[in-house]
Amino acid sequence: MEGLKTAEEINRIGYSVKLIIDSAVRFFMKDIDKVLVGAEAVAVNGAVVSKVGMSLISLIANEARVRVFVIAPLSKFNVETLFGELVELPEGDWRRLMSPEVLAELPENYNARVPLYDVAPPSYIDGIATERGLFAPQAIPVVLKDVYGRWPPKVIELEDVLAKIKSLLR
Amino acid sequence: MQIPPKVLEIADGIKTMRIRGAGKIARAAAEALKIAALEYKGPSDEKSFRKYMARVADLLISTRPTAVSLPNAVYYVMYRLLTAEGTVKQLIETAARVADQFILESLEAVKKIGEIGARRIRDDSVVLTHCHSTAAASVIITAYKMGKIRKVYSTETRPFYQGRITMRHLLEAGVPATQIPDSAVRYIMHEVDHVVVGADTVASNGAVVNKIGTSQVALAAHEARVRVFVAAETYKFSPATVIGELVPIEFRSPEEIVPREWIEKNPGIEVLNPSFDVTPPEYIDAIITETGVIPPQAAILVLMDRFGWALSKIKQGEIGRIKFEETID
Repeated sequence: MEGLKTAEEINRIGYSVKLIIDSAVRFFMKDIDKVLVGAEAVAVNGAVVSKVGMSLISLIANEARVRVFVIAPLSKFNVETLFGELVELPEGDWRRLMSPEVLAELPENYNARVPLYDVAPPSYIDGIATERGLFAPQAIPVVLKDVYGRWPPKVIELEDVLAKIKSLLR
Repeated sequence: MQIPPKVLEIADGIKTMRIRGAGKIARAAAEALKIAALEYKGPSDEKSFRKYMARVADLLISTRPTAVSLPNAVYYVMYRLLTAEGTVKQLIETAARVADQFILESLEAVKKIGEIGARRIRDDSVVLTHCHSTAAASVIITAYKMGKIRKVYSTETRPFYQGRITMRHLLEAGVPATQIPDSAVRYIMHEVDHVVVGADTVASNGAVVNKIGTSQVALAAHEARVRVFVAAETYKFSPATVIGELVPIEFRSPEEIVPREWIEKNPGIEVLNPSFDVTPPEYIDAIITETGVIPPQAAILVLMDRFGWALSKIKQGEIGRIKFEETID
């Protein structure tokens, strides 16, 4: 129910807000001009890892030709995906997400899966807003080349990073 | 003559939602027409009897104007009654017989849909369903008993969690089912072979009105090239949509989504709670009815076959409304 907090915050800034359930996204998409979301991580191909449901929203927006913008600082770009590393998508434990009253009413052999994140493909994303500007997902490699000074960016070993930090602190 | 008290009681039961659920409402209406016919004590000319039955039909339809199963049950009986020939005694027998026939057909429809639909499920399938539908569950359970189903995903279906009813229904039949949040539909779709859902109303162009979220499930399936099957009895097809009537979408209380205190604390936030959405026919591979599997584009044929008479009356009369009493001169 994190959407309730988002609704409260945006309303506090002074915007009028309409709250809907996750299933009603397609119902209302025809009334929408832009989709704005944050991200957990961005892969080098511009795929966006976000809260589960984001990929469905991006699909629905794409179907209705509504623009999708992702807001992500450069620290969320996962350079390692360039070397074939997959972004891991953990799943939650449904038993921890339900109140005791609800648990008591469920059938004995009830079973559920709770994916926490999903991946919106770059083809459904129109722009990724970073502190260096707004980029098309396809332009992410160029941005990273600029940030890291070379392409492909060199991945620094953790030990070297720690050594550097130590030398800086000294 | 006066409408019998037993008939008025059924009409009131539908109105106050003591009788609810598309199937139950339809069968209750047919039953009411049967009782009305059997208890007829008016003049013994056919015209008076037909007028009286038309009055009962109009009363029944007026109880819940938006539920399509109700007028369809009435059309079913009235069409056969008004086109029948004979004495009043014979017409009473006809009315009772076709009402019973409707009730029996409606009860058998779910079973037939299960058998027909299960044939379309491939071996070793993973099926996803949304909300709770008796007809869709009938397809899934029948296919499971045929050894065709490996796993079923059922969405929670907030805000009312009808997915939990589906879970209970499937688990009791031994079907291995797993619940997922409504948001996880696209995430899980690559594992799924078939989507099977029910319907509240089927429009003449094959568009399906069903629980909110169905249209985005179908969209995610379409994207992943997963087949979408809709299980729907023929009395859920809406004749009024032929002349462009829209199926009204009910918006329910915001308190079903968030607590009243939260709404009162946040007057600047409007909570919108539509109950149904419309899945376009291009995202539906087949509609499974008790009379067979049809492409959604053939919905009009089902309507012409089952409610042809109603269609001609609707075209002549006021938009979307039939007054049976006025059709008899």
